[in-house]
Amino acid sequence: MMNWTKTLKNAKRIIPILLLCFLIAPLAKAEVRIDITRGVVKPIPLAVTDFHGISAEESQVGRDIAGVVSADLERSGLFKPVDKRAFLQTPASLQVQPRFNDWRVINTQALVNGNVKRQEDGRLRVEFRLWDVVAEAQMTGLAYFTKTDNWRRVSHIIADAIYKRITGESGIFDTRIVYIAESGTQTRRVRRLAIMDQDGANHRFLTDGQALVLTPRFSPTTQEITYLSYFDDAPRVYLFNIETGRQEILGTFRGMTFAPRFSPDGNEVLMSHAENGNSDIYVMDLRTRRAQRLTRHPAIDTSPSFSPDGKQIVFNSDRGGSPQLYIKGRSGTAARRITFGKGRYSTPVWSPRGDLIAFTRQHKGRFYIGVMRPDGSGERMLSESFLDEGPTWSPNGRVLMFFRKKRSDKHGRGGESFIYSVDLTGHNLRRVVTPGEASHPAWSPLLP
Amino acid sequence: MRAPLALSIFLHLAVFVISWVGVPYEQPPMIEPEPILDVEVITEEALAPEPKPEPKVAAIPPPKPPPPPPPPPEPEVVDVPPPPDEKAEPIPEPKPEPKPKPEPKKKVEEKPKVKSPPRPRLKPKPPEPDEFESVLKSVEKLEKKKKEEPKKPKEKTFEQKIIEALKKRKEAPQKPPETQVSRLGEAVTMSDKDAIRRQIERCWNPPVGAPNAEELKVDIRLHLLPDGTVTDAEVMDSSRMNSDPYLRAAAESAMRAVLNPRCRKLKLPPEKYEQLKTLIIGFDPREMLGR
Repeated sequence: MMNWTKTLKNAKRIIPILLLCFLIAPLAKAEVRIDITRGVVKPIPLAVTDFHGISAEESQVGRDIAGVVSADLERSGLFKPVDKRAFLQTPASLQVQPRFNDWRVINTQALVNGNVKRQEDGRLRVEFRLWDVVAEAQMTGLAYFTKTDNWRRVSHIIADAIYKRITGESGIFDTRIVYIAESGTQTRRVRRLAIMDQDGANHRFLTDGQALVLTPRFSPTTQEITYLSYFDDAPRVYLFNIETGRQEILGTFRGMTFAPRFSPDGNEVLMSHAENGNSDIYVMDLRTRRAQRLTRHPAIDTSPSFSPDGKQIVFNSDRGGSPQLYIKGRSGTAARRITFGKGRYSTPVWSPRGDLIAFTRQHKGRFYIGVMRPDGSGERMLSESFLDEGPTWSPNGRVLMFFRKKRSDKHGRGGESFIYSVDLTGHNLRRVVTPGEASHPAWSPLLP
Repeated sequence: MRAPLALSIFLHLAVFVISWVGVPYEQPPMIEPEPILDVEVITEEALAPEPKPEPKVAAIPPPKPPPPPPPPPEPEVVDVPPPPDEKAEPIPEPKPEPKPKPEPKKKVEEKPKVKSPPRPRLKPKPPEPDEFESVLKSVEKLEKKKKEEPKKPKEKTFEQKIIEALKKRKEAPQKPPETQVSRLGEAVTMSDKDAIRRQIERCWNPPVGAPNAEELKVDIRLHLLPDGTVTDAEVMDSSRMNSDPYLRAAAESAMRAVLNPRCRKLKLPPEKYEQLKTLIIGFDPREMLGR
């Protein structure tokens, strides 16, 4: 009985609520829902104004910084800097307050302004703000102190901050590229290890070109490079410290070692070792210099790359009859083939983001740079030409660089090689500026 | 004397040449250091510029500490935008718009929620008093009005329409659809939705290429004026935005689409304004680029 009365009482309470629900239901229905699954992929129009400075020197640095920031963002393909000549508001008056309407009128969606001021200790204070012109709100604002001659670096850091705030991705501009600078004729080629900022500035050579060098790879954590050198006609994997200039052979293998690549923590190097016509994959601990064998197969296993968690490797093997990509656990699990498309697959590189693997594919005399998920699904080609090869990921896993070589004629003329970058969406394919011919790019992590 | 001297010089030279030529043959094991030396020479030159990285490294820490001082910027920012200035600025765009209360944008800047209620006559009432009764009353009113409204057009047009329709059928076969549309005025059709969808699509620059794009779905609630102008837009479930920069970027891309001056005025079928005055737009970048 008690239970009945309770439930009745409860029912009395519940019934009005239920009734209310029934009455409100049609109201909820009144709110129309529309789903948008398509859009227009195009760069965001953005205005980068000259950073304001009072003295002539400050103004000049301010103009230079704005130029580098604008060029960085434009090169990413995600932003379209608005022509300065269209600006209605001056940098000086921007220091007070943006007149958002003046920026909307010229179809700007984001606005960057800033100022440069020399401090008493001689350093520069560089400040910038990013404004959402549509929402009329500041999105971010930061200040940096630096030496005057370091203004380029500050510009890249600012461009990264803007890129990160608008796209949600970590930056790519405060980085460097190590690559093989090529010169000479096709028959007498000189290849030198070279390094430059991601935008081509601060270029310098790291080797003198006497020995053939190939496939440099950046450490994801330190200022070190591992690469293949044919010094003394013996192809071996070397380690090179950019800061000290120190160079050394990795390991004391008989036979040749090649195709090196760092582990995600920078403490190990994967490489191939060939002996008696068989090549397998090894990993070397850089602290103990001990090498461990990861594959044992009569076929050619090469081009290994770790997953970001370091638990798996993707590599290239012809064990199935033609070069294809395989994944295997670091600790001895069986290799699993992931490529089943037409053609030959090589140089796999696991994205630092972990979601994709980039590779070179060769089919019917054409070369492609493509990506696929680690389970082999979602394969897409991002570029195609006579010879595209050797992809390398930006540190945020968003952009790929690779090198493209043109066909040479029967006299060996032509055949130039240059570095290109492409967004992983397949948009924004463009040549990376280098002083001369270039190949085998490797993207550094964000500078420390 | 000359002969022994010449001999001596010759022998010395010979020893020197032999050692010069001979040593390299013994060097193979030593050859490795040589390139290192060469490289070092080059890098020593380069090291002059190289110090930059080091000072840079030293200089970078400042940058990072400063980010904490973004407070300095932010306070300034707070100082900088005195809202009166913004509002004081004349907004020319609204002028051309005749019917809607002339300045939709000012409304957005000023608290839109307060002003938007007056426009929709029906909804504001429920939100203000949260009590059951008032909700019930307003619901009743709503229903009454809903019932009344459809009747009105029908009453007005029913007889006329029959006549008109008959006439029109004689005149031209194309016009009957119009009468049908006006009868169906209540329901928002798929083609109405498609029309709105197309208008927003062209202004949406989706966050393509982000990882886990399937998790970046964002719902935006729009409030519209009778002429289709978006007066206000809000991200639903905005709490997740702060923790996920990708999601924040996705939400901001959606907001840019609906507040873009080019797409801010949606073409609506006027007779369906009541149903369309608040819209929920779901932005889903999952299908972009086959990711």
